[in-house]
Amino acid sequence: MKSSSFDYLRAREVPEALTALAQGGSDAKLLAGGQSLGPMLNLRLARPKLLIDVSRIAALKTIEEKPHSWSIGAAVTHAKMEDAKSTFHGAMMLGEVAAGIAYRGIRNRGTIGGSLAHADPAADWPLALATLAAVIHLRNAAGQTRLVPADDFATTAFTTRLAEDEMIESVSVPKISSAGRYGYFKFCRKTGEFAEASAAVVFDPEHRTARIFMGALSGAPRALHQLAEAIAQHGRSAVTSDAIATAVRHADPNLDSVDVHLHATVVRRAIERAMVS
Amino acid sequence: MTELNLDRKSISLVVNDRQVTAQVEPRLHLADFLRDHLRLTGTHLGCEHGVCGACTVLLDDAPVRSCITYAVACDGTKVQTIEGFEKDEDMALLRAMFSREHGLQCGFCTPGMLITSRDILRRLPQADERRVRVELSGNLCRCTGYKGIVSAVLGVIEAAHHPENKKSEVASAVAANHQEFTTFTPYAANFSSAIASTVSPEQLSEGASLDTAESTARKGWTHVEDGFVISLPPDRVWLAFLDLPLLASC
Repeated sequence: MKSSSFDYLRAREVPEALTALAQGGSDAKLLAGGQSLGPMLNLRLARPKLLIDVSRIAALKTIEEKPHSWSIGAAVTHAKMEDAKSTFHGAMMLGEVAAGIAYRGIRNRGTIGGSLAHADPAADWPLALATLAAVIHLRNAAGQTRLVPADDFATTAFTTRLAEDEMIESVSVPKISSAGRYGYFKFCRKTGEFAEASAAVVFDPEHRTARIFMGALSGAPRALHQLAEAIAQHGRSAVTSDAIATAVRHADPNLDSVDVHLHATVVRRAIERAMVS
Repeated sequence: MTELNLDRKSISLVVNDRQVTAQVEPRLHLADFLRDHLRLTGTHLGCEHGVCGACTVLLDDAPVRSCITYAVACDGTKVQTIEGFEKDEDMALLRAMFSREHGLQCGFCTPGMLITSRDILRRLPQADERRVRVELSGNLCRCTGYKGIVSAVLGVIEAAHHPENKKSEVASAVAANHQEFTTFTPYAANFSSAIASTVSPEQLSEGASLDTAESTARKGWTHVEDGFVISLPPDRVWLAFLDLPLLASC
């Protein structure tokens, strides 16, 4: 349970981190809160030669409200978002999701950017941010920036569209209108454990947005677009066990019948929460 | 980059109000730094990959798992371990309540439990039983079944809601923990003969007879078989498991 040897650099600014990352190539790894990377290092599932600590870069630790969105710095901790829960006007789901991640001891260190970059299929942020139609801001050592939609960021388990010399700078989360509703539900065998099934739902009549995603699959979160559309158009009458199970099967044809039952139940509960929120 | 730089890094941090500087390998985690370098062995290592919570310490006043936090990343921070709460009133009360409510048995998880519990008191002073259980879910205990730990935390929360009682509650709980030493006159010279004169072997063994019969099951091994029948339905037995004072008095 001891990591193999690595060198360590604490970056003070984003460009410093990116230069070191470009020089280090595949031997270098960014360290934010380390709540996933730490266990992987200790178990020697990861053996980078250089860790570039970005957790103290002030520019990555800001939460900013804009007219139509919230901008969350990549190194903002889950605990900081949990404690800001009541202030996320139009994006209350952020605080709720943050508060449900693992345990307070983990939330005090773990960051939103680290969670996205790690892309664990059972993690909360990849699912929640995909459903909220968030946009991820990336930057590389040459100073080039690009935006990737959160629902297109993870390509499969533990794999994202991040290039080797890129890092996540921030996430923009569009606000839901006052008529909007959301629901988030995950099934864990033990409180705080990684989810065995998870689902997130957003209905916003004003923005004409209807999104349902499910997570904790073998790969990235999957959209249940047709189901979302049907519920937006027909309301409760479209929320049937058959419709949900069909949507779940369609979204991930590899699920066996037990998985379909579990995921369909979790999707239904997330929808129920959105219906009454 | 192909060469691996193994240079130690210089760190400077405050541990339990004491300024500490050290040269550390980057891969040294905070718990090993505290235990092996500073000899603060109150921080316990259970799983060493962030699951069990036994190694929980305060880093800049927030509980973190010290096994997946590297010492090099703690340069310039303030760390507080279980050894650093001597003058902390919340911790004094928690210690007393853990003792009163049987919140520990082997004690391995206790440092992490106490530090997490103190954070609950400060962050969630209105927490009910369910909330306390959820908040403690990141700290594993393999002895107590959590009931005693939860009761202890709820006991402190309860006391805090009645500030007029809090002082006396603290005083009596602490007093129960620290009984004054009563002086006495011991038997003088030959200790074992003195024992022999006051306690018989029968009293020492409390009526049980020592079975010294050799087992035939395996050469050189002693085979011990034991069991007892509880003449109550299982439901009643499970109920008894919820009654800590009853269990503890067994």
